[in-house]
Amino acid sequence: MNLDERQSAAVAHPAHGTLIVTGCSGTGKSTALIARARALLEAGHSVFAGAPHAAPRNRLAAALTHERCETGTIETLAFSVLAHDGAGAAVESIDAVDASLIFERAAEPLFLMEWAEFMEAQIDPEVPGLRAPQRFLEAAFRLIGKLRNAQMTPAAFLETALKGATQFYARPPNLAHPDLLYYTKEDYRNSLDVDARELQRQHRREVDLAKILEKLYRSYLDLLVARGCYTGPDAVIEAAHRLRAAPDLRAAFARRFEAVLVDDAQELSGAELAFLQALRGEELAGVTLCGDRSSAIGAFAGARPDKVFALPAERIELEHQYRCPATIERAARHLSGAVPAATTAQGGALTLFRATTPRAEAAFVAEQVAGLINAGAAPESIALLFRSVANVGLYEQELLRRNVDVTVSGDLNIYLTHDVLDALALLWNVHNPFAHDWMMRTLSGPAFGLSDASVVALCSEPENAQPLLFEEMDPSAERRWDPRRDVRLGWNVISGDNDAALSALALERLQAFRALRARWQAARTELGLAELAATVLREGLVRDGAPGSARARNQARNLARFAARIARYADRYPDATLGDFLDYASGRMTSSLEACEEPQSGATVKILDLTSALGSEFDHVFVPNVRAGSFPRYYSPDAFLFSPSLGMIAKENVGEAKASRTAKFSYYMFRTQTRETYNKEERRAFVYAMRRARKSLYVTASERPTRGRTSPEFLSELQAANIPGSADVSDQWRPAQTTVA
Amino acid sequence: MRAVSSSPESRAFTSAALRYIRSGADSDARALFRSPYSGVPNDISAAVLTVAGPRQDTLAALTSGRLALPAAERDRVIAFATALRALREQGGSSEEQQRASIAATFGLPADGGAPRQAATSDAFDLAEPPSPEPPQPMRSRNLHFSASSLNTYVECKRKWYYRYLCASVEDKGSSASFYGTAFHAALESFHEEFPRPGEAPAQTLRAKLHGYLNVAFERFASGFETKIELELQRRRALRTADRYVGWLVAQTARAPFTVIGCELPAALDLEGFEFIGYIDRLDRDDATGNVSVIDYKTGSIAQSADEYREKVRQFKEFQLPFYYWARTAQGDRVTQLALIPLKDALLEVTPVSLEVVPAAAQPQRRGNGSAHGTIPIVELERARTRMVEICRELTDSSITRFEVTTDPAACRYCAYAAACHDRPAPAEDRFAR
Repeated sequence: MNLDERQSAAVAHPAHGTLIVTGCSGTGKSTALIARARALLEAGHSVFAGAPHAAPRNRLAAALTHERCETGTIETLAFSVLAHDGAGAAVESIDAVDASLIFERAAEPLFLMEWAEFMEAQIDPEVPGLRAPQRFLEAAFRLIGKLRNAQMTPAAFLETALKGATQFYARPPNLAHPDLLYYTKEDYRNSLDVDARELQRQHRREVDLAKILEKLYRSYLDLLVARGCYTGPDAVIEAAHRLRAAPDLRAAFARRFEAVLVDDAQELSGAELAFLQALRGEELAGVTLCGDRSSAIGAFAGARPDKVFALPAERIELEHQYRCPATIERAARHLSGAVPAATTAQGGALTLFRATTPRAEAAFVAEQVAGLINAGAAPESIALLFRSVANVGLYEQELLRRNVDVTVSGDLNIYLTHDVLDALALLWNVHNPFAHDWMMRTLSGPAFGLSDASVVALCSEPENAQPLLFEEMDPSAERRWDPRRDVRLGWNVISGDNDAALSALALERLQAFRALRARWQAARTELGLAELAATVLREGLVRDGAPGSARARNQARNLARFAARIARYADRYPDATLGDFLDYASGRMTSSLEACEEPQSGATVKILDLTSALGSEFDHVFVPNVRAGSFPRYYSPDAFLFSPSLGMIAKENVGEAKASRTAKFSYYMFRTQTRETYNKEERRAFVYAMRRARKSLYVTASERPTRGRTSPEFLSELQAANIPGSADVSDQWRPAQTTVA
Repeated sequence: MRAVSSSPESRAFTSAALRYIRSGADSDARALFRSPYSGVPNDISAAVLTVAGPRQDTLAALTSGRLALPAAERDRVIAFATALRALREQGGSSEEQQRASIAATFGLPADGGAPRQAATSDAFDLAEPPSPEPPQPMRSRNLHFSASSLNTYVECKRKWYYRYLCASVEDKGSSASFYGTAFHAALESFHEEFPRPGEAPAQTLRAKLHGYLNVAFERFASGFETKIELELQRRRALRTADRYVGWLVAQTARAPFTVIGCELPAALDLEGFEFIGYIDRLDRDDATGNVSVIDYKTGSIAQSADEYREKVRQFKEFQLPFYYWARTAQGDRVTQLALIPLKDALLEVTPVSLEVVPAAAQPQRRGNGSAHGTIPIVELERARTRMVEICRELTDSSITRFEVTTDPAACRYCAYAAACHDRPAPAEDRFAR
């Protein structure tokens, strides 16, 4: 490993010292970290090397294989601490979706209005956001996550919220200040036209909101404790607490890891930093932090680069750009407003493209990818990086259409993919044939392929009705819906009452389905949940695409991911039935927190969100869908925010209100310039994505750009900058249909 | 000695039975009934509980006899109900005794070790898909149409197919839709009592409408997903009602009118196609005798008269054109079609109205954002022609497949999303929080 002078200095730094290695992306921080870890191991030290997120951790794990070296995320290290602590009860690790489902449980008494505070009229439930309970839950869960990260207890939260409210409403700022009025959008300017009475009313609503959130927060923590489970961030907080309370535990971990090295340290949360300090002392003795404050992309999610890089430590700044070629680095610097850097890399291709429609853009991207592969590029050296991969089906399909094998990882909800929906449908068919939506999906899906007319026949009353009849209708029911419809389709499918209305082919397929279903029913008492599910999927689904095609491999990978989830669920709940899992899956299907890990997929093109791309680099990088509302997304704050100085800041004005927003919210947005801060982080994220490229970078978008007032238009900025070496091919590209052999 | 049962299903059954002995929770009764060890075939137990719905007590559902089951299966259901009741009487015995009793009563397997493991691997080597069944023509058997069914058809043909042809999945509605149902019901009662709202003091009108709303929200309480939504939506309705009464009083002062019908059945034969529907309200101007068709809107609506008219022009909206022709056929001189927004308690009630003008009249300049505009009769005629065309399309046996929309917005609240194999990928969430 060839290291430059500064990298060598980082490697040679004393093992027990505190070191911060900085430098923008591509300057070799991770290289220096790995070299330092190897040097420490060679010198006989034991090492923990990790990162806040899983993606960089995986890279470290591949590079550092040594018996005295452990790699992981900060969260996995925290779980190790908890597992090591004999005083603690058994610890179960849960992810954010499971935690949010527990949070939903905690909120049930609130939604049923069973809280004594409501009955005794101590709290009025009319608070911001609560009219839409699901959205309220999501916002409250996000807020509580941040409070946990900031290590703020429910009691401290309420105290801070009440204090902030008193301070604001006792001496409100000048809400008629011209700068504030100018800053506030015209639609919301009336929120600032408030008298003392209205402010008092808003104050009361805010106090009730804080009380509700405090109680919810407490109930949630109680439930977590009762179940003995922790999310990663919970484990970090609890482990820090135990380390501070138990010097023996701390000493044990000091022996276990003489040195701790953290990559991408700009993404450390406040709680993670506090955990490291609990582990290694306030001065972080023996800790090496590598990171770049200007690359922080998670500050809105709780990262605290300000605290991390303010720590007293020896600092080494790396300046030489090793990864990005000159053209790409120039473009990155242009967007970030930094001065050009020294770089050894030459040339490099930067291609800019704006299509008229999203489909044309996706086709362009897929064409270029297929072209690169046909020209000899390895598929795994190509990545499409998005801010979010929750809705990248268009790009995925265009790639698959060209037989480009691709995997999607990041904030994708696997339960909503086509392949998994088909799988879920079959499992529902086994469990409950009267879940008619799932039954129709299976019948008209590719495995059975019934025509619309056959499905309609199965949904119909048989002519010679010997069917399930209703003996008594419910006279109190105020329904236009005929309740016989709730069972008719399922009954026709399982009993054959309306088989006479089907074509011969449809009947043959339906009989095959019945036979399969009968076998699966019998297997319910013979097989474990995971085995039962795998059997059903293997026997009931059919292949998508030609044998061995990218499409078929993609489907198999999605199903394997789904099967792995079922297996994990079955391991966690050994007594769970198929019905239990389907209920659980219904909860996960609707969660915005669902995420999809990167599979061991080998030679495929990667579609990644930016968090999954942390610390990765590729020869060829595409950053598609670069338009306001996609990358960056528009900033739309939750129904309420929290500030340590101002307390709760409710966005929505509720009750006898005259304006849709509260005065405090309008003031807060002006004072903190939150939207502008958000857009700055998005700019950093975009530059970070660009700097993942070693050889070529494509920045693409579709449709006309906005004027970039609410959100920046990065592609337009690059087009206008006319970066030397870049090519704008927006008017030159013509669609083709390149296919990968 | 404790019996250890062998499969997750049997272990789950024992756990649920023990919990049921302790607490009698209905969720455990359901789990027991749905288990393969209940003694009732899976599909029968699923049918019984589907018909019962999520809120009916399980024991009551088992004995209600709403389903005419074959005798043998009915006996099994009754036997299970008897065993379930017996479980509740075992509260005084030890857990060991309870386990033994559960195993004996329900025939649980003795300890057989782990369940049989099927051969598993990560690979999914799936079969070749069969070719789809050749499409066959379909036609609507129900020759009654409504404007809202045609609206559904133009929004997404596949949705129309699921709703009106398959009709196997109930669109149960949401808290937002029950807000609308309750508000409509309250206004019906209110205007039946006050057909000439100008003659009563505003305070009386407010108090009465509040009363009717409270009754209506109570009546439709079960439609709201949570109690808190019921309470907060009720409060929203009361505040919106105040806005509504404010508008009503001002309107009657400006141009007195009489409500001549609420939730009025509207029927119309269009070239042999029978249409039915209900008009929210029909007003007659006291001075001119002209009739206005009123439609209450409790969700999002067109922001301006132009926007609404454009929907009519583009054949995306048939409701008011249908009402117009239905009432005209009854001999009314309908001169105005109006939407009354009842969604936002923060905003004054400003109806979006279209004045029906002769074909020769110049349409208003488009895009002025006004709540008041005009619609030439010729556009209503075009809408009527299109309604007939769609009915022909649906009844002439030429359709073999109902295509799904390309607009993902139509799928957002669609009750048939899970059924729909080819629905477009969801729209991108363009907002970060």
